[in-house]
Amino acid sequence: MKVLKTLLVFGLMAPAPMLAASSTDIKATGSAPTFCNISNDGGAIAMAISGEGDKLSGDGKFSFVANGNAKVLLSAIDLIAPNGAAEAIPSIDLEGLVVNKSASAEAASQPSGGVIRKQGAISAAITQNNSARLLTAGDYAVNATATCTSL
Amino acid sequence: MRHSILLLLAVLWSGHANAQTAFLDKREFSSKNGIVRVKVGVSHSRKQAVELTVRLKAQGKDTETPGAILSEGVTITPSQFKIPPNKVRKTLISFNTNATTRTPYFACVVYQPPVERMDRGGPAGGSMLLATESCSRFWVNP
Repeated sequence: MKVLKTLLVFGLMAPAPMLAASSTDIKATGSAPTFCNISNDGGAIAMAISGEGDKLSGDGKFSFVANGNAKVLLSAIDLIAPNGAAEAIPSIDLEGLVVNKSASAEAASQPSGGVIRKQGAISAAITQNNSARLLTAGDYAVNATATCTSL
Repeated sequence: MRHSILLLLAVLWSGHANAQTAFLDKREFSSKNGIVRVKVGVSHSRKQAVELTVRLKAQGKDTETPGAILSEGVTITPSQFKIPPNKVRKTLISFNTNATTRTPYFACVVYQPPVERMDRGGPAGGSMLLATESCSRFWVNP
């Protein structure tokens, strides 16, 4: 009985350590996977001829989201032109991210670190590259793939 | 796993990211008898169901760049499917590797927008089609 009283007295005199001990009961952990995504928000873009007849151009919209290190790659541009068309150069510009003007090489953005949510314009163009400074009449198409990579 | 799903839902419900996404729970894998198995969660948040294609890519010009599509010795189940928005489809990528050092690979999901007939204006007209792809890099240890 004497021992029990002693323990009770000690317990009442030292409440702080007892409370502190109970505060470690809650523990929460989690892991968020890194990811990125990129979208062409407008589908296919219609390109219209310029007044000078030297350029086809059109605009669209894209979104880019990443929660860690990521890069965006724009593939080499596949240009489809009328048979026998005079030389022309395709280009695709993802505003503030990456530009490609090549039918044979890909282009890469600077790596983005941390979190990023970006929306911008897609500018597509086919520009004459010949001495007459004109695009041959007919139908043109430009195809490419934008790839975001979560690192 | 629960936290990954919660994060995915948070992203999908944010209303801005409507692109396709490939989620990996792990970034490091080991080959067993030369075979690697990778589970990928695939989703998107467009307005309607779309068809997505999953593919495996090797390293490109550096360890941060996806390169060629790998098909030989690669099984992806399923590799192409139509999926409603805000649903997660689990895909299994299984492939052979003879890597003797730690090697990067890329699990990718691509969305090809439908080709639409464009109105032509003037003597020449044109269209631009930009497919979009999301890749997640992972490493394979021998």
